[in-house]
Amino acid sequence: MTGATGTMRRYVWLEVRRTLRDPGFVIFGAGMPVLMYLLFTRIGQGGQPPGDLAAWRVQSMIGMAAYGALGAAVGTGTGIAEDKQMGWLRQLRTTPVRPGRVVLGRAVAGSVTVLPSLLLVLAAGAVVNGVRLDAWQWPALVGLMWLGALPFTLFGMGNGYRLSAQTTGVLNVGALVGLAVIGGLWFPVDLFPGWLRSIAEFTPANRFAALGWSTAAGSAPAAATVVVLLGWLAVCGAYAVLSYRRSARTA
Amino acid sequence: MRLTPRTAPADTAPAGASPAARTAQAPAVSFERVGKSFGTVRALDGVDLTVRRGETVALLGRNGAGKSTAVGLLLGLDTPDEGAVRLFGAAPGTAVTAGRVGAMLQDGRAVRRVTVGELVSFVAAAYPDPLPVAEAIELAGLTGLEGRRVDKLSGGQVQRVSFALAIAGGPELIVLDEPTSALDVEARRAFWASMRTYAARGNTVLFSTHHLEEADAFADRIVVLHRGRIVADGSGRELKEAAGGRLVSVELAGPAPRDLERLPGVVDFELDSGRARLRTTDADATVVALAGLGMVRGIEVTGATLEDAFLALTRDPGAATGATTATATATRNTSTSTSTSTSTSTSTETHRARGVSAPGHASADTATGTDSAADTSADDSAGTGAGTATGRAGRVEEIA
Repeated sequence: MTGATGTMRRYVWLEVRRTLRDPGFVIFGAGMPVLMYLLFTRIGQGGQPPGDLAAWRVQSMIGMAAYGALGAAVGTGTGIAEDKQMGWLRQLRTTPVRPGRVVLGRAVAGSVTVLPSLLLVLAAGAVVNGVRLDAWQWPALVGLMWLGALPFTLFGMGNGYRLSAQTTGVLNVGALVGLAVIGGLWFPVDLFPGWLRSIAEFTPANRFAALGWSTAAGSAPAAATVVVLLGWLAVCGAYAVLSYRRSARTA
Repeated sequence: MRLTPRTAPADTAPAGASPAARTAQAPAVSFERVGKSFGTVRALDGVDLTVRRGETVALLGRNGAGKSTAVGLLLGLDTPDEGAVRLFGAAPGTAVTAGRVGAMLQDGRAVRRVTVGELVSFVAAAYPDPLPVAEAIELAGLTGLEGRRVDKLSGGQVQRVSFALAIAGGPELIVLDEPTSALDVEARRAFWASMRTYAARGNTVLFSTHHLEEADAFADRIVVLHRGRIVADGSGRELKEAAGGRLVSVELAGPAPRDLERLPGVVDFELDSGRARLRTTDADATVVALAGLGMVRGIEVTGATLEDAFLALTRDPGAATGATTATATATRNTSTSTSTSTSTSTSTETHRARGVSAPGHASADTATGTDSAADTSADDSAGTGAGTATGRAGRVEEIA
């Protein structure tokens, strides 16, 4: 048991290191969210009343943290598709590491790499933009948003096991940008027309960010938010499992 | 009708591979009547194979012969449609999880964003009783490259990383699928030296290759796969002997005389840049017959090489194609009769002495069956197919 757990821990660590060296992760998971956060909150905001600007800096911080977490999460799938293509997944299947543990290890590694994305944007908010929250709010933000990223990790993994590396890359980036825009991570959904806004509030990225927005407002997440996210978790989890089974049959 | 050509060779092919006596200790590898299809392609067809512990076995075959399919089944990456594959008496997955197997897969490309040292250490640590990482790296010829990223290495170096991964866990069985495809001559030599070192520790090695010299030089035993079946199984020397002794080669003055294969002793021939090369079981008789035809210029008699043996074993003889066509024709004509070709062949055997021991056993059998099927429909307008089959059977008798 200790041996198997040790192998799992080593596998997670191996994959985390590989992800941190990935330019795709550095760009979509870390660089872009921080850059966009600073651009959106520091340029062209001069005419705003100070109270509105402070609120926007908090809202955008959480939106961009969610965007970065989303990028890191779906990026896990891009890595899987690439590893499938390069034969690494097949090679792993010839080692004593059990296939189920490889999948689980990958999901854990994906979740771990979500953390730096979250933390970087939150740090930019606190340090550069002077965002101030209560002491309990910071860890609550990190914890909730970390958990909330799981459906996206599973969605990316589902694509990775099912599709080619190229298709997965395009689809994951497309999904990332699409979900970020419709979910109001870049611009507030308040700016959307009413019909689009009601759609937006059922999209996973919007509910994901809502976990953070409610925390920053000092309240617990709404029940509807949790229900919608659990629904997406179930859908994406099933998708990942089905994709993995299919790839195991044809690999 | 479709059954006839398929079952006849299937019955004869595994007979060549003698089922090894079962020892108390389960063999490293055993295939029992294993079949596997991909769509309409029959990748493996009734394969029986036993590899004892400590053996070094080459799986030799052309591209598409079924080598990689066999390796995939062996490692539990795929499951057979029929039959059973066992490693050390257990299911492949069990042996793999227990850390008794290491593999070097074909086309294993560079794992991205990881160093040689990280990768080999990780795989080694997944096994219960691994080699020291430095030793695995040294055996694979990667010393000094531990800190390099695998995706920055050359193709040959990447292939050495794959070998390091195969042995890192210190497994009892290593399976190498086309291990030297990206290596130059020198790297190949170094690779095989490492492989031998690893095998010499009492480990079992199974490698697939389409390089005859590699199979001959580095395996105790060569298993020849052709179209999903084992067509030969033995040492390189045994294979050469079985292929039919000698090769007589002679310069052609003009166009090749027809029916060179009808000369005494000749089992096969080919024409190549102004020379005729005849594989023969009786070199003396062949030479005398050639002299009778006035063909003595530049005559040479040599022992058959493994290449000759391999080509003979994996040739799809024209005879077989003709016979299959004939079978189809003949069977259609006798559609009222319920007898299979096997039973008809038994009934006609009594009044026809036939060269059953003729070389090219599979095709000879087919021809025999075909011919007798044609006999039963002789009054019919059986036509060309049946006629061809009869002629061929005659030839087989003559040669035998």
